[in-house]
Amino acid sequence: MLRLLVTRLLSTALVAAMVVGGASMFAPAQAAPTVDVHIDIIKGSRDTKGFQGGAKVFKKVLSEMGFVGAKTIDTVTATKRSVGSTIELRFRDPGAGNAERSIIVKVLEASKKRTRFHVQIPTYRFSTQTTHKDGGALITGIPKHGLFLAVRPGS
Amino acid sequence: MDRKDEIHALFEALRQESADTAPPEGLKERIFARIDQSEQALSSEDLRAIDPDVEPDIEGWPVGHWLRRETTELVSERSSDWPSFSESVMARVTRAPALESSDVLAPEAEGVSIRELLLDERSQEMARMEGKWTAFAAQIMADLDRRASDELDAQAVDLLRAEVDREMHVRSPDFEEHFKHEVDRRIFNRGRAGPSLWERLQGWWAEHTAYGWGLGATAAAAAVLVVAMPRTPGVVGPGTESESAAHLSGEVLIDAIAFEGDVIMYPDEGVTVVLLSGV
Repeated sequence: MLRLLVTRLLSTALVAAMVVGGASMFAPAQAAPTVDVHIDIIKGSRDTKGFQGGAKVFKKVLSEMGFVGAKTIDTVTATKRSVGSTIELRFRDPGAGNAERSIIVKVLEASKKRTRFHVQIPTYRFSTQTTHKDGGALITGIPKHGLFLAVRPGS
Repeated sequence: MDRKDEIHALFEALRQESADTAPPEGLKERIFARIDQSEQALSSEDLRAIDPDVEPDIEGWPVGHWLRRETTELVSERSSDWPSFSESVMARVTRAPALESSDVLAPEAEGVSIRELLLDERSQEMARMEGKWTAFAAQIMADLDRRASDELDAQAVDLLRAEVDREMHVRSPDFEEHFKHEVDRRIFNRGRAGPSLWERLQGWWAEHTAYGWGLGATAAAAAVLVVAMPRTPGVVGPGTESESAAHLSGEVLIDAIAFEGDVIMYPDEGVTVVLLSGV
């Protein structure tokens, strides 16, 4: 009997918590600002024509660098990342014998007008801090490998 | 004529008149009876008066020899009634006259009285019966029989009770062992057979009834939330078409940069390009 009573109390408490939690989703957002983070790994080609997938966005920039074609070999979109969160994407560099590389993006600031990232490529000992206004994309390229890493905030 | 001479004359007469045969039955009784009559003279007439048919059979049998033989046979016959026989012999020995006659008695019995002969025979027989049956044992048995007849039932009950207690004490480990074995056997058979369908239903019902209302309420609430929850995009993995704009807009400012090599940076429409050389 006691066991039955305790079980019913716990179930009622769980239901109440779920109801409250669900209701809070419809409440006005007063939580910390968040931002979506898009990371694209693009392989440019000077021989094969055609820009495929996410590489189409960077066609103009890549074409100016002499690439006739490009394709996205890896991509990730991390949604609603708050300040301080880190996104890491591991990929393989075709120009380096498919060696594994990684790019790490840390959100330093997130707002409607401005977003600040800390981008780091540990293998190449490269890091930078960027401020993105109204979107904007940072493209870090290794022309020798034809590899381009694009980081941009999303809405 | 003294007693000795009378006996001598009697047996001499008997020897002459009869062959050397074993004395007939009853003679020993009569001789014993005559010995008891120690005050009376033993004459041939007296002996014939006792048993007229005896005379031809006791020729050449000295009294001592007879007595020895008769005592031996009597002891053998009456071995089961030794106490009474012993008493009767002792009584007769006590009353036996101290007859002394080297002519009448056996040569080895010269100078030995009948009483002593009887005692000797008795001791020899007792030695022969040693270990087989004794007067002391017979007396003990008689006392036990006398006592047993009075409280036989009580003794039987006590003996049975003691026997049962002893057996229970000795066999109690077997009972426990048997009990354990039986329990193990039943558990093994139960596990091998498994619960029946009805037992499984009962177990499931007992286990889940308490959570029935809670489960129902939780499921209803989950259903409401699933229906009302707005769609929110999650992390989009590789291979999928991410949300991309047809053209880039905005601008990117480089606040800081660190690299061990040469860096080329140039802004473009909606992008900032950072090229790394020397990698």
